[in-house]
Amino acid sequence: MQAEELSIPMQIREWQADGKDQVFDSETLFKYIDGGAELYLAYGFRQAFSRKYAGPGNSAIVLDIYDMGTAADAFGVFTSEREDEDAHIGQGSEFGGGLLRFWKGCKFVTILNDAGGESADQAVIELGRTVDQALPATGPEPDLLKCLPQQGLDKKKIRFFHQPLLLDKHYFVAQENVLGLGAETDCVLAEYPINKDDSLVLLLVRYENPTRAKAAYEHFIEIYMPEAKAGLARMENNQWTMAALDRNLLTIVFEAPDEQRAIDMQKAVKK
Amino acid sequence: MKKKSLTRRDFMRQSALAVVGVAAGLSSLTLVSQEQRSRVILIRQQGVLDENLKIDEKILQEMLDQAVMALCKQDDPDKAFQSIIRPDDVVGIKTNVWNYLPTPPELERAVKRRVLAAGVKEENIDINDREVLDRPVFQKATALINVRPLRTHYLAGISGCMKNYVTFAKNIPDYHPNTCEDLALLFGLPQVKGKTRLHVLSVLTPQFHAKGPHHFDRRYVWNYNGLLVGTDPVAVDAVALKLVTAKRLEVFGPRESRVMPYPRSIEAADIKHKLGTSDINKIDLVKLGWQEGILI
Repeated sequence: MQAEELSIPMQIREWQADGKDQVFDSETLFKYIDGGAELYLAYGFRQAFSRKYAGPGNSAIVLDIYDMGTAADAFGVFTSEREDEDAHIGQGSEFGGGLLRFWKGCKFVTILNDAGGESADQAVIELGRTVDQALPATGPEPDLLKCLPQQGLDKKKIRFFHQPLLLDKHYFVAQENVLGLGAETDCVLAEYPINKDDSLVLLLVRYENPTRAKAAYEHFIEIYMPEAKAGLARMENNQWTMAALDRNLLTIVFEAPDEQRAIDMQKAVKK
Repeated sequence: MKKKSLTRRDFMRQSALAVVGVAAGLSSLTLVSQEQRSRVILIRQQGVLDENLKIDEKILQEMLDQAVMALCKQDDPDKAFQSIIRPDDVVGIKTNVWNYLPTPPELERAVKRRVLAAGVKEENIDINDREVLDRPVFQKATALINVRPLRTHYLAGISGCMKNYVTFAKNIPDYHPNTCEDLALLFGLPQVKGKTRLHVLSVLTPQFHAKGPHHFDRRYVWNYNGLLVGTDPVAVDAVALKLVTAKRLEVFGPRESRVMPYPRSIEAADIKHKLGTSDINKIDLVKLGWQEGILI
């Protein structure tokens, strides 16, 4: 990251780089962001670069660049908290509440204006564009996204991850890791709005091999819906859940309003 | 027999509970819970914060005093504190220095004032967060008072009373697995065990949703103007979770009301570690002061 950081300006509008730049690895990231480090470590985090810019009235802008090892994981960590409007920076971005987040190649970038104010917000965006230019390499989104049916997909609600921590955060399934998720599993969670309040939820998990996928499927059925017939069951809230296995790909449809919608969504997944 | 894993369907089966109650009534989903009732005081005052979020220290002191009096069933603040702190105690006031939403210094001072009034010598009182393992007063403390603000947390679901003791751990990441499920173990550490006399959870400006690497987003902090006070950290955290869930319901609607990740630590502290009471139905919540917008 060194060469790229050297080309990032020491001053942005009225904010001047303050103090020494810091670099954190997987051992030291906790010292910087405490429990927040677990998010990055749940992906392929390698290193973080941090620079603080001091500005008027003790305001600060904090730039953090995370090397996530792969473009897929940079995309993943970006999607883990995505909820704001697109800022059109990098390969995917959002800005809200003074925080700019974007990903590009294997880098995930956050720039935070911690004091508020329109001028600082503009500086954040300007710095974001500069960092974007300093990071020339792009990279592909995870392959697994290609399996998602496109019709009705809420693109802001796509989450890519590996670990159960992220599934817990976005869609609690069970207290134990019933799907056997871990560093080797690729997962995509996606939402398909049905109306203002409800969405059909689709979870795809790609395992290392069909044996692990089959074990996870069987364990999920045993723990979550032992009454299922052909992987399909009606839940207590009258919505339907369907699980299906195709070699090493496990598909689970949650919150389907009726049986047919669950079946249709499962069939629409591109294998 | 293997204990059945809690699943999303257990929440669905609790459909008789209101959405707000679901996350807060966690232990009603399980078979065994603490039998004793716990008491938590919620006190709020409209005037404690001005429009610039400046704290009126006098009002805050009165709030703390009233809450502790109600908790200890005493009619005088000094008597109330004397019922939990002895003059010969060595008192560590465990605060929280998180940059974005620290324990207000006004609240630290309010607590310290009463500890001094209870007869404790100034040199036997310390206020600290991240160096508690190395500070002499904390090392020889006979009493702890836990004072921190409430916020959501990326890993634990919420950061409340139990989470505040994580700096007593020699290796903090040891307490991170399974979304911080075993935070209650912190209360068994030698520097902590049996020493905590009071938990004060500031809900002056709680944070009900978190975003970003530092878990802070100023859009998701609101003026609630309150304190939650108790002697059972699990019960205080359970009430805090109910409050945050209620705020999320108000702002985000039913679909996003539940705090994520699922805050396992509260239920586990009750069922698994027997530290306190997580079942909201077994907590006597005493509400004092300003009622508007109370949410719970």
